[in-house]
Amino acid sequence: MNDDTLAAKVLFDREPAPDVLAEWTGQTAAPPPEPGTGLARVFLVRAGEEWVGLPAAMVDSALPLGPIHSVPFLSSPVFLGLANVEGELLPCVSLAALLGVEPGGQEGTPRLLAVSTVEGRFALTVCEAAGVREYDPAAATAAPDTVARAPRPVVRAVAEVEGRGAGIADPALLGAALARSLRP
Amino acid sequence: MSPDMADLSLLELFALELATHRETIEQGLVRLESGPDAGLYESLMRAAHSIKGAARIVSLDQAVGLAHAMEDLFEAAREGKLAITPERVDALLAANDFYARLCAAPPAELPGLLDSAAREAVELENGLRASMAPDGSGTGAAQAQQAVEAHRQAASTPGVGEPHSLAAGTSPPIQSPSPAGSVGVTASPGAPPPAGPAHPPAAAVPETDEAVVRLSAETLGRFMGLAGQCVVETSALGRIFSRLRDSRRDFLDLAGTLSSLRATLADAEAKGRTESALVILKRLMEEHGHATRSLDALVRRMELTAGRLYGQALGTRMRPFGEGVKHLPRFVRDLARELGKNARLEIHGAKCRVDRDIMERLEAPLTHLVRNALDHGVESPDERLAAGKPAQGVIVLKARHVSGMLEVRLADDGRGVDTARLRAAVVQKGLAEPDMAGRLSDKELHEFLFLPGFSTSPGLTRVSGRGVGLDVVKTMLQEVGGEARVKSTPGQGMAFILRLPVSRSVIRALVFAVGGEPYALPLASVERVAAVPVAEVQSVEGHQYAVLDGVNVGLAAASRILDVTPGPCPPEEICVVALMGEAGRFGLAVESFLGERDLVVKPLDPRLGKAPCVAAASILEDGSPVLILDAPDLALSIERLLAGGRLGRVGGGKAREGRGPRKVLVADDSLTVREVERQLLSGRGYDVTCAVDGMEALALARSGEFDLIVTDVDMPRMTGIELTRAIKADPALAATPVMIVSYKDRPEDRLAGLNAGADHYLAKSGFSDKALIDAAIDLIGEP
Repeated sequence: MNDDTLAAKVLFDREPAPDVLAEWTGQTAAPPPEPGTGLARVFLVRAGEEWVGLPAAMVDSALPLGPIHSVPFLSSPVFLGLANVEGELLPCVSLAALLGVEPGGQEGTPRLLAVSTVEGRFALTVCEAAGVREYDPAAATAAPDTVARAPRPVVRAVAEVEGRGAGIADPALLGAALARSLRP
Repeated sequence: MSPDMADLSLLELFALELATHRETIEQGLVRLESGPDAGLYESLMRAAHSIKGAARIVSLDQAVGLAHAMEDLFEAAREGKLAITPERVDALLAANDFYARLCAAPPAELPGLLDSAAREAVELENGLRASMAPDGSGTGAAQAQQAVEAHRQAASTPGVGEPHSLAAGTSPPIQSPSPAGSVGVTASPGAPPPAGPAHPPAAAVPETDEAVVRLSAETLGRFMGLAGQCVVETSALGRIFSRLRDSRRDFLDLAGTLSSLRATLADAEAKGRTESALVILKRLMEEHGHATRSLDALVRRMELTAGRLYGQALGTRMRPFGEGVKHLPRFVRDLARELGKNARLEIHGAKCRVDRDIMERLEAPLTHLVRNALDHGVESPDERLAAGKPAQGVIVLKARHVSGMLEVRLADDGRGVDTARLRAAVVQKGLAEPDMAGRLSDKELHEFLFLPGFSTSPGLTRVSGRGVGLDVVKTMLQEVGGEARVKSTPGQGMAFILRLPVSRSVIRALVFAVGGEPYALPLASVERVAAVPVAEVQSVEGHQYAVLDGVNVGLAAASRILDVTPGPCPPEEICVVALMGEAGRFGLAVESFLGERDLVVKPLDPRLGKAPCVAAASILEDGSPVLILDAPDLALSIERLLAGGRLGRVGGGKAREGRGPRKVLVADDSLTVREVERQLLSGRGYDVTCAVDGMEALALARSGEFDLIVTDVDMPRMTGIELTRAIKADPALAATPVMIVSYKDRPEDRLAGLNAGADHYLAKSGFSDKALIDAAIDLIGEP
């Protein structure tokens, strides 16, 4: 064994300093971070060419799209009419039209989403429904100012959900926007 | 346990229990006056005792004292130590009303409320105890009266400051659905019904001895929706199953084909293969048969069960008649006392089921009728005795189902209608000439009773004489589609007989298509339905009409009234629904008839507000939504359109598929105007051809098939007026709409244009892009 090897051996075999030992003991003893806490759940849907996350608590069910009956004088591109959701007639709003999204993206099966808000139950038409997903609200970024300062925004934050950038809708703002869309 | 720490849920239970017992006591007290009954005292004592015990547990001492006094009074009466005098009953009712006001308050505030109303409670209690002094002692009765007065005052002055004070209306609260929308009555798991009366044989007080639960209206709505959806899905299943069952025929065909194939084959191996194919097929058919048979039974059972579920869900809308009128016996008792008369109310058919909505509407009219009967019908006790009738008048309220309708009958045994006085009143009010009035039959005279502001009473009492009352009955009946009859025998009594639909929640409707979507009208509003061939549609002054049953019925397109894009309709005929409105008859032109259905009426979502022309909504048997239209609203819309000259034409006639855009011919000698109009119209999607004057326009019109002709008036060689006349005179072109666009806006110019046969006159002074396009769409629809 030459001098270098001896020196290396001495270096590697030395006892760790007490403070270093304490630091590493603390780290090992700390409880592992729980996976899943701090994550928020949203129902991910596509409206036009945008992906939007609706708070999972709001969404009651996703159903196949059925006939929507227009209401004379009240129907508009936003408020489509009345839809049959589990035997009840709910006002049906096009999510894409509500958010002012450009229509786009033809694939995917359109669906009817039954949502509950403070202002009552509504049916939303979406171009595609991906299902419930989780995201980290801490990692979400605020919506761009052009949206946030618009007269009636619905989306408060933008987050990366399942690899896509999705606008996270605020339940109170969404409820208010839906209620407004019913009156011309 | 102090009131502060008393559990809120305990207070809620107390409130529920108090409500039940209080009701028992009130009903029992009213019956008590008709005649004492040992069993009745027992139940009254039990009720008061229960209130006392319950109040003690939640430490509401004031209520305890009052209940104790009531219990003692009942006991003394039962043992014969006291007679039940009206003053005592008044005092007891006053105490009971105090409890009623307690029930009306939110349970959480009960301790606070009782503290603030402690003085009143003590006074009531003292009044009761004082009234227990032996009969003949003046102080007892006086103190009882004082307590009753104090109660009345407290009830009529609003509470100071507190949001939920004990002061409520002077009438006892009625168990009707609360504003929050909860349905149903209090839970009474163990309270025994009042003991059966010794007399009269018919139930004098409605007995609701079923267990009831509280249910929010929203939950019930969801439940009904799901039940309805069940029916929709099972009928869809039924249809799919029928197709499956029909495939058995295809199996048989296959078996036949294979057999004949086997017969033609010579090769043994091929024959063998076909043989095994047949064997497999046979097995398949057997399995298919099994599955079909079990599925058949299952589908039938499912349809039956879903139907029953739905029927029961609908049935939850019905309440027993007795529930809605149980406040009336007390009302009769109090009012009779006030008027110095003696009368009792008997209720028959309390178990008869009535739609909740109808029951609510009946409450006010019935109260008016009862008030009337007491005030005008039933005579004073002396008069009755003199006439040989028993001193106590009887008012009978009876409900029953008759030929699918609900019949409610209110009869009194009083003096009946004095036809002579009625006739005189009619003449005096100037409603008829004297000789005419003399010739009116009794039935016709009775109609006058229902007029607003009509009264035969010589003066005003606190209760009646203002002439308000019976027209309320008539108005309500008109709203629900019912009718009233009066039967009167002078000296013996009078009866009002009301007929109403049992339920307004299911209606028979005609379903038709407008704008490609289903709409419905209640059959009751529809006079007639017809498919009129296009050739038979004529027009007068530009308004189209059809002849139905010899009557000329004006036509209006439903798509125009509802402002929706017209959908496909058969080219040869126009489907017409004839409706009778206030302003006369009119025919609604729709695209096609879808049949007659029984529809469950669902009110339109309140968040939408009042949608014009739409009364309610429903769901068809295939699950698609349908809107129920309101015939009077439609009539109003038609009138408005007529007034604005915008009714438009009915029946596109030509099939739209594969026709390309509508063709418009524009005639104007000014290049600028021509260009502007052309650009506007073709920008909108129409196919536009231009002509520089009338002659060219006529030539082009004759050669090409145009859907609309837009023309100026002042043009060389042939004016717009002459052009219009020529077009309308030509049988091939007469159906083409003509629009005149001109600077001349004087009435005589307009008249000239319309007289020549133009379908629309647009003044250039009021010219805007939108006006031209709108007029074009009015006349021929979208490009």
